[in-house]
Amino acid sequence: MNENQTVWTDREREVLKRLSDLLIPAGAGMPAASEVGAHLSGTDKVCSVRTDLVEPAKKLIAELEQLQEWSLQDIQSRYPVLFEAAAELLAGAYFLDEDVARTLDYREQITIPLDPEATRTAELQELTAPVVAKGNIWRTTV
Amino acid sequence: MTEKIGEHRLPEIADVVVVGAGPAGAVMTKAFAEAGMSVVCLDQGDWPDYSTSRSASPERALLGGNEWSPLSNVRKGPGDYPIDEDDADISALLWNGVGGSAMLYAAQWQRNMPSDFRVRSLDGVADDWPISYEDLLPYYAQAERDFAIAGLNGDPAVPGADQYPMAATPIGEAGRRMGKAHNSLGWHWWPGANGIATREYGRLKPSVHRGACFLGCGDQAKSTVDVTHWPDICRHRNAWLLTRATVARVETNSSGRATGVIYFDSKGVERQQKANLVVLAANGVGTPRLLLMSANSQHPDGLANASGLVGKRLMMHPYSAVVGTFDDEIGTMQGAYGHLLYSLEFYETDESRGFVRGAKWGLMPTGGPMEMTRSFPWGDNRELWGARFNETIRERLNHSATWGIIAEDLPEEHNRVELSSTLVDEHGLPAPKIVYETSENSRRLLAFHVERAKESFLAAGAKQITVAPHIRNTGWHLLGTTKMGSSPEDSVVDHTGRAHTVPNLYIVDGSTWPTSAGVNPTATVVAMALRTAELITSGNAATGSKDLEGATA
Repeated sequence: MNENQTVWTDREREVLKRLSDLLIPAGAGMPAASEVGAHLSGTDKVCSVRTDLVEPAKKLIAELEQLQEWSLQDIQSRYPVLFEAAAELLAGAYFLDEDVARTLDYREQITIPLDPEATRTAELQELTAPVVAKGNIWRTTV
Repeated sequence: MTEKIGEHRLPEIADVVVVGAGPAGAVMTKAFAEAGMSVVCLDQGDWPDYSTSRSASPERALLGGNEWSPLSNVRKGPGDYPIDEDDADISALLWNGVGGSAMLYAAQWQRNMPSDFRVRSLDGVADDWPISYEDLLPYYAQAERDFAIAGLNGDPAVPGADQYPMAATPIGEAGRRMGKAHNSLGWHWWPGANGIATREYGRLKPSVHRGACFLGCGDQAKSTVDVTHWPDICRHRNAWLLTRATVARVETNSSGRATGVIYFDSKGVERQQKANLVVLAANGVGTPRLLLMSANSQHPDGLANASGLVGKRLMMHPYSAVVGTFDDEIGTMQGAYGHLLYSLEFYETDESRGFVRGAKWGLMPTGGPMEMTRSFPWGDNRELWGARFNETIRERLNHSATWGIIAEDLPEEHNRVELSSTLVDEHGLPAPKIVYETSENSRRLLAFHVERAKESFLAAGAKQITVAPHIRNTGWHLLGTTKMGSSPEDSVVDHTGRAHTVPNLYIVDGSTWPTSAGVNPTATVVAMALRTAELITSGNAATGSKDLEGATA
């Protein structure tokens, strides 16, 4: 599947939305998961590269649909393996959001050029001077 | 499929057949090809597909779970065999394909220490090696040139490490902080040497610091032999690389010499490659598996197994990690994912500590946002989710670094690789079964080092220190299963890697190590392969020149 396809029904998305905000509410200057659509296109993107997460997440949704009420602690204790997959799915979707990445100043996909070699080597030589001053420390074997 | 660049056919009888296209296999094949010998290398996996690593895209952080998993049982890619690990408390992590398991290495490049070759003499345990650090000195230097190692010359803990071909990777604020802390403690540290290019070098390009080293560097900055060696090797008319070629057994003749290998090609057709010399470079699990699968009426316990040690003495370097989290940013969400710096302060034996031998520490970045959510190294993460999620992410992200602690694992015969009685691969060949239990010495060693690593972070001003939980998936280094030694009674190969009982069979991977050292092994695996290649091609191996005479007759 690709990121433009979905494996989720509308009912499943509703559960994912509720679950995502339970896992990742707004705070520390960051939006809640549902505010950035983690349960929408975000999960589709994740599933395009992590198809292994679909089945356990669907199983968890099915379990939760049977329950009237559920809390984070309940889910973690009753369905630890399924929870781990669903958390990977929703956190992955959340951090794939460009606004979230920007707010965290996360620049993974941006290249960072190296400083000049001479600059780096000079700094390291100064920092390691106390190590060098102690002399050789290996155990002699010959 | 044949990946040879060129159209000529495989030789009916090659001078050499090499099994495994990782670092050691590439080094050997290159040396034979340059010496004018006909050489065929077979690897059961394929060339790496960097497009699936998505190293330049945000999805990269999600990929450790499938195509780039270090667990063959999860990855299930071309050439991957299942591994029976029911009786092991550490999982073997490996990669089948061109580049070998170094495709998944963090590129941390560390020579063994001189004492690693004299463990019995110095510390009264395990065994001395039949070679010394000094024997390997010229080959370490050559390996560092061939593999484009970036480092700072002159570490007073590592004799002769003064010829790195390019400047070290940046250590960043995290490295500066921890280096200064160790200076204040009077403890050893040194900027990490890494197989991560910091300038144009051969086919390698300078790192652009995406932090994607582990899962396949799409920027061609990580030194792996699919980039550094194989393109040149394949230009030789006398060298061939066959991928998706799964070797089933080494064949021998009535006089006990190896005559070649039987393999399944990419279509599952059983084929034979005859050769005058057979070289195994299939890692510490794959090599003993192949020797055991080569059992026949002449060798009922497996090939080259007169000592009974094939598969035994498996060492996997038990591993601990300690994370320090700081109030301010230390630049660890991006950058070269090798070791920023390392410490050998507690590498040597001090019997007052209650254990023998020691460990190398490597300081590593903690990575991007997804890595902040994982139970390794953060431990029980149940409290992460919910009200404080984003607060915790902000506390960890770009504010934390990890000391990875590689424990020297002493050889014990009950830790072993054998053939599974229940699992088989796609060709019906028995899967390897790993039996491994972390020793008491290793547990004490790690407990001591964890406490010292905490002190290191405290000296650096960390506000929070987290000890990672023990997890299974730390068996990166697979060593010891075809022990090197001077006597056929208590070892499998001699000091050149030649099997004592099969004179034209060589083993050049980490399985030959008599002891494990406490460092990343690639540097020494490569240096030993370079030495063996030189001894063979110069005719200076014990009877190296004879090995090329009519072994299949």
